[in-house]
Amino acid sequence: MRTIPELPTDPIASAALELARSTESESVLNHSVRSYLWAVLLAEHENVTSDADYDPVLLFAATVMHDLGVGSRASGQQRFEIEGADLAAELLVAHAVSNNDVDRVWEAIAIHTSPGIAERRGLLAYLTREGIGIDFGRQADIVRNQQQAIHAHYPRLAMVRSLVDAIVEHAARSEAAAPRYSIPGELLHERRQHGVTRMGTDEVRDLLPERYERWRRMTPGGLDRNDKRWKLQLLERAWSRQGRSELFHLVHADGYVSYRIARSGDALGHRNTCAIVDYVVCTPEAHAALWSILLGMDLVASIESNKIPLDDPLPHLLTDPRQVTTTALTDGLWARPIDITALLAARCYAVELDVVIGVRDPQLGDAAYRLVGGPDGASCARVGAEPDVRCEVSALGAAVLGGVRVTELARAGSVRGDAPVLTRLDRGFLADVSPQFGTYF
Amino acid sequence: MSSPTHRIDLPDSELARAAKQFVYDVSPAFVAHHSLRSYLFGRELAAAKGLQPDVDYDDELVFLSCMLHDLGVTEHGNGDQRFEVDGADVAARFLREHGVPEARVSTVWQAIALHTSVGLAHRFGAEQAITHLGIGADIVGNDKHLLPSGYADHVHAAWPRHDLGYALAELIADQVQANPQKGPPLTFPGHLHQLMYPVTPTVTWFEVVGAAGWNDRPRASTTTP
Repeated sequence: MRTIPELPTDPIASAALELARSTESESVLNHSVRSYLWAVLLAEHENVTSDADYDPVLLFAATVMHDLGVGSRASGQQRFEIEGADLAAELLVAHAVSNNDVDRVWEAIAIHTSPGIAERRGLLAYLTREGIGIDFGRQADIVRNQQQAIHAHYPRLAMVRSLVDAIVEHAARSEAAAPRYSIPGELLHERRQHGVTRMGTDEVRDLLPERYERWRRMTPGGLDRNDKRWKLQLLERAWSRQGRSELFHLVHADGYVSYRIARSGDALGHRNTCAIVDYVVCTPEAHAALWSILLGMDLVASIESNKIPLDDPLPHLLTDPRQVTTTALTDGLWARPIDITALLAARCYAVELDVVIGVRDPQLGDAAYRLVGGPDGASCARVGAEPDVRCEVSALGAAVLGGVRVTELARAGSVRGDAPVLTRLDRGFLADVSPQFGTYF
Repeated sequence: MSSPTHRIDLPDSELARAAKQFVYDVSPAFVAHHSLRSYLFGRELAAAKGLQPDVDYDDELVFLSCMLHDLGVTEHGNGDQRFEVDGADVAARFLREHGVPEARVSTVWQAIALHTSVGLAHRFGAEQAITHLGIGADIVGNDKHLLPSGYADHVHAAWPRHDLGYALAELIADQVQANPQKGPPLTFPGHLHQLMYPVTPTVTWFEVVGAAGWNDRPRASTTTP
């Protein structure tokens, strides 16, 4: 007997698989395909494959598309089960599937999280729910002999964590998506109560990049991380561990903290240190939630990090702000302007500016630039006019990220001009968020 | 009878009368009254949303769905499944015995089986949606601001609540206590059981009932957290 049932190759099945593949995470996609395989094995086990209403293509459609509602095509205005059912129905209608069959697949997906009801709505709804259930470990005995081969083909990739995360993210988008006493509603409620989930590295590979990217886009100086950089970030090597524990991650919907625990000399580990190696916080809520977990960790006497920005609000959240001490400042962030017109036009300015800046650049040549900008954006062009202010290219590189003040640079002599212009430029260049160096290289 | 605030007539087909009689025969009064009010509230809410009986929905099917929806909490209907499905089965059996065609039976079955499934029921068809509206209005006050002014008082005077929210919770929780498979986790009956036989209270049913604005009061025997 074959080990793994084959997937149907019918055009409807291929389209369904493609829709799931292009809109879901790999972990959720594999879960969906495995659900089909378990459902087929269950059908064989229960001897129902020759029943009149057993249809492998419809079964494939229902199982493979059952989580479209947590994918990128779902809007979050209704429960994910319903949005998934609607997307699946749309695909089937486009493939001229009969209304009756479309309804059956729609219903099987819509009620796949409804215990005691799905089992009563015909063979398709029953096999869909139970196939999915086997992937969560319900009656897994039936598929004992095929488990290993199927998981080798379609790895789990921390399925439960990433699916729960996707359901919670979907449910958080509207009240209607998360009603009481439903799976999405209860999972969201639980997540909101605690807000933060502690996970291992294998579970977070899909979760961290999205949060990092959101943080990067709101943080001056935040560097792009590609797939290779992420691999390195999450790699466990002696040189990255430095005798400390493996990586742990506290994940919030709007941020995360990655850390290692360094054991103290004390045999009981009562004075352990938590070393934060990645610190990504997009909202004040995520900041407070993550710190409340970090500060409550058992057997940890101190927390250290070289990732905390200078304007982090942590001291203001504590009863004793002096518990936070800055022991070192790391200088990792500077910019070397090359295309100055593009650089200055790419950011916003806190106040309206119209100023000609003369830049002294010993390598690339001196030039004057007219900068016209404000809170909504800016434009910049090279001009022949007499500059209002003059600066070194290094000073421009320091000021442009919004963390170093123009007036400070002026006191050092690297920016020169009349006091009112310098003051205005100083206000304009300051950023709401301090620049932060998130990724060492 | 003619004023919209006093529109409390019921469908008077033989089947409708038999269904009402059946429910009053096998149910405690508070369950039967609740079922009847659910129909009246559902009909008014449907009208408020611009739906016309027997144009946009089948009035008799809505009546049957509402009237028969809580048979699962009665001794007569209590089986081994969650109460919504036990109730749907008893209702389906009743309708088949009265010669109702299978497609109509199926609509009523779905409306009853899904009546506690917020976010699902309203998408299964007009009758299922209106049934859900009516029951939701009577239990937790959903959309009650859309009822004609004075209508709810008038209905409650004729069919009193008997602290429905608490009385019903007790019945359902007791069923699950006696037979745990009737209350799977993350379902309405599972939640009520957890609440009445406390392990860890989460979002509580009593908060929901309290916010309904129908002034249901805890009964002497009800355990509140």
